[in-house]
Amino acid sequence: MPDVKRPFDITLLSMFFQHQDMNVLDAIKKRVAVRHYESKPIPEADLKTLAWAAHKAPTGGNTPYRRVLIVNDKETVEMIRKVSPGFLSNAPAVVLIYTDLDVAYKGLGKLGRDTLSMIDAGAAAENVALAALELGLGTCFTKSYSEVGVKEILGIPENYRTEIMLQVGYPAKNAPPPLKAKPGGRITYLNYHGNRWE
Amino acid sequence: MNEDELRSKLFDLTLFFLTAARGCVDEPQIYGPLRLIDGLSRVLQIQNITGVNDPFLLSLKKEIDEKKYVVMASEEKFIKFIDELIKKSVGELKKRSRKS
Repeated sequence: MPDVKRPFDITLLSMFFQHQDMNVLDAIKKRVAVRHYESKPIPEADLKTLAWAAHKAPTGGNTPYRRVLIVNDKETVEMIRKVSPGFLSNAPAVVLIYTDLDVAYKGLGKLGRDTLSMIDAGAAAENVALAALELGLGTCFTKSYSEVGVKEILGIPENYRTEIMLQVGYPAKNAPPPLKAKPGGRITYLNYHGNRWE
Repeated sequence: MNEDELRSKLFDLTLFFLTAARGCVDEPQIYGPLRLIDGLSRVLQIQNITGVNDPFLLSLKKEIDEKKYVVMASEEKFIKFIDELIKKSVGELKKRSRKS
């Protein structure tokens, strides 16, 4: 865990729940995909906090297959952007969540390698997005990138699979409003499928 | 015209189209049109280097950059947006045809 005096420090858990500016529900409500950023660099301590938040997400069977790679080197971020058609912003940093496939398979078999590690990467990514809000940062989940290209740039060996990339930065002040959710989602049922719970 | 800058932009475009082509194999169908439209904006960006700066094409690029994200909210609106761009471009084509 990074040495930061923030509510995310587990020793300050009670303080977290009393935090006046942001609580978990607020953070969930405020999380949106940010596609316009300021060029201001992100302090390394904050990037470490994001990595810590990613690692706090669960892994199936407590199997240590998750890897987190933080990229804040300007030239490397630019190279990643160039092989990522879905990286449409000027974000100054990237958080990449990926999986050691050998560890996943050894620990949890095909289910771990092909399914659980991906689910857990999603949980880790959401942790990053929520922690980022606390730090005044915005994020954008990105999957439209070249797996081959990104692995080549970052020197990731063959037996790893990238799961999700988050663009990270301080949201631009003049950014357009976030997109509205598409209709037809947010369907909840109670007790059995089909019993809509409004 | 800055030849080095042009070379660099052409290389960037190469990477974009290559990786977009590979992405289209697995991505949702509507992302294909999105990549083409975004690619068009990137091609039009080259005007800045060549010094051509065609007002119509610049306005087209600006409109693409402002509205391309609508695809995330509504495929229908995105398709309408492309149709509008086509209508505008055909209007421009007619004007230019009359001139020549």
